[in-house]
Amino acid sequence: MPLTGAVRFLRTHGTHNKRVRSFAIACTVHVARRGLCALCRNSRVPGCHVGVQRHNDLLPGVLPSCVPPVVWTDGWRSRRRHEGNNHAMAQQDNRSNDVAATAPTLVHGAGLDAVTLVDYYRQMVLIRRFEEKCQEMYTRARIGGFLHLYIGEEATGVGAIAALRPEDHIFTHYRDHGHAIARGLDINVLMAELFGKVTGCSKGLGGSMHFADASKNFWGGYAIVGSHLLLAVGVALAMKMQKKDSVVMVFFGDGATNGGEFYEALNFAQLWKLPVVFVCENNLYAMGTPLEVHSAVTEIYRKACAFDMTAERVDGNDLLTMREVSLRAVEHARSGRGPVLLEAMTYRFRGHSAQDTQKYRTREDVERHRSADPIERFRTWLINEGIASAQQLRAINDAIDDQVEASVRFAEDSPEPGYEWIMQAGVYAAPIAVDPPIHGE
Amino acid sequence: MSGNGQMVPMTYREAVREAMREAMRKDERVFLMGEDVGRYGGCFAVSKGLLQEFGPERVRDTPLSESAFVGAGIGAAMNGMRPIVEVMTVNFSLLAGDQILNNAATILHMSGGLFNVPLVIRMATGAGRQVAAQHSHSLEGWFAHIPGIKVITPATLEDARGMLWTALEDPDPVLIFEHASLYNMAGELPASAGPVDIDRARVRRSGADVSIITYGACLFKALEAAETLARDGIEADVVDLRTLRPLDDETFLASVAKTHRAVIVDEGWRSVGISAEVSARIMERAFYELDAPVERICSVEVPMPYARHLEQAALPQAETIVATVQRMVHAHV
Repeated sequence: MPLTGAVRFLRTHGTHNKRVRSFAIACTVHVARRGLCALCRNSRVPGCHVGVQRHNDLLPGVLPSCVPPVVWTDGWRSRRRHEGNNHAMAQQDNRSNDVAATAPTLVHGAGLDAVTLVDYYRQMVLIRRFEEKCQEMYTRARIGGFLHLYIGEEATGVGAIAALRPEDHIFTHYRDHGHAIARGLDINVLMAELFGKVTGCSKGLGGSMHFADASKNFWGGYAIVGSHLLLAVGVALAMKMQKKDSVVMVFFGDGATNGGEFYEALNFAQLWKLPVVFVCENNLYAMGTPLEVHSAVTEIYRKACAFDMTAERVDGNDLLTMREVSLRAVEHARSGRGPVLLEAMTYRFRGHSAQDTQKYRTREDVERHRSADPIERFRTWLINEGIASAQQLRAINDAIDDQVEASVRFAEDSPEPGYEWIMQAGVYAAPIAVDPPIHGE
Repeated sequence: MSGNGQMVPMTYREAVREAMREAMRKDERVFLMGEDVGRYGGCFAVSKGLLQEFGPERVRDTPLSESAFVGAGIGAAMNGMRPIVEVMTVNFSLLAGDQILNNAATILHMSGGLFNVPLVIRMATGAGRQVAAQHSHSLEGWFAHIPGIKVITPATLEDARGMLWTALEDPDPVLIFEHASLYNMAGELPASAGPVDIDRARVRRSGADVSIITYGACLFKALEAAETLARDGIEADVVDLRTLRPLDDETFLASVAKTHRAVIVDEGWRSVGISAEVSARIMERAFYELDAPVERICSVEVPMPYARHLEQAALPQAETIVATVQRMVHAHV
């Protein structure tokens, strides 16, 4: 059977049965040996990200399959079978369910001590409880503007940021609460920012979408989708010119990968081999538009192929897998071998923003994903592995509840920013010739 | 300018190049980045020779991705570098409009003062070379609308040579608009020419009868008109704005207080342009000084045509300035 025919056969039949699966592996090896991209089949670029050479580079010792975890292969293949019926897909929303239901059992965590592992749990619960409180405060009109919650995606942010050193850098998007907390920003200053208080991390001028902290190299949340990828590239360029070995990690959603900035950033970073780890948080929706409806290629990591960039898809709801893959990516970037694109599969349990009525998906869809809650998965694992007891974890939750309550009191008791911030002096770092007042002269 | 040493013949292009060369020699954080700035030498040959002198680390040819290299310039500036980003023309800069408006201009304020963006973006502006409707416009007035950035428009050799260094030392993003028709302008500069301020307008010619307020290449049309008017006994005060944001009100208001008449000459379109802003400030703060309504001479409100006679007819010209001033002055004699 000619190669292209074999691959087509695989795509049609999937890899769910043993015979087909071994055939798949044989074919992929064959394709890879010929120097073809095992996925797109028409690239002869040596070391194409899904080709065997580069793949082994990133994942030594694994099968030279184009899609690392088999579960993801099933995921996208099963979605392929529904191709051409976007509307039905959007309604059913059964695509990532494959992923959630068949995610590999957590068997790693080796090399991490219990304190570290339990701290990851603490971070995720802190994000969850902080944001639940945000929603409450928003409903009570204590928080204004937009409120984009990260609930459901905690393992992605905590796992990815766990791979960074303090001297590394982070850029993120408007759904930035989780990244800020994972980076260690004090929730008091975050809640104060949401309350529009001068004690906030951005002095009450940024709000929910623009958390930042220079001391933690947390360059902030940005709300023009995709635009901040170029800023991350620029920070990386500066570091390379300054001969520092830090890495920039930049977060964005699946929707951002359709904008020109995404492609410009990937090309620029790869062209100059800049130390950037691009983390696409694929939560399956660009606001309310399902992945299949907004992107011609639904395996986002494949978009890196055009730039011959190392890329990998990962279960973003599995904290330790997310951390391990991020570590590989970060070290790849740090070693001077250039940027990496990670596609973290995840799901947000809440609406796009607090005002979202979620007419684009059903309650059942959301509930199905909730049943694979990343925090609950990790909690169960910690207990089953004997790393922590249910009682210990409950105590952590209780302490977090107190901490979150305290953040609200801190925010309430804080002063508001002064009106100097709406004068020109607040717009420029350098004193300038300020226009004298026109009225009242 | 007074200075030691002799005068050196120089074009506007060479003055900008000298400014960049000096900046890169003085400060290792400074680097140049943009389309064709290295091997090609710059699309207007401004950066010719700099790649050979400073190497590819500091003179960086970029992909044709305005949003990317302007955005990367912002990021590099935020992280300790002093980039000079060259955008070929102001029309192309709109592809980086998001980076300039939503990032460069906002980050300082939005972060409560955590991060500043000490970035310089240079670009060519203006018409007169028959390059039609997508390479010829004067959009510096648009950018002057944006708080958080500074907009400067060097017209003279002295400013082309001296404004860049001051812009690089500024902790905020500075956009420099170089009128494409000026690059070949030749003159002389003292060998010791160096940095000049970027926040004050200058009176380029003194007169008591009318204020002609302008900037960029129109400065020379205004000066030409002033010479013609002088033969008619009308002495014009010619104000070169130099900086469109922040506008130096004091200089042009003082001029209007002296002459009691104002004409604003601007190569941008008339509606909602920088000329409207200058006019409004005169109304607000010097209304009772005026002996005649403020006049504006701007580009005709069409996309720039290719045909030479149409292009020239669409642009402000010295003759129009002369006729307008004569009408204003004689109406009130």
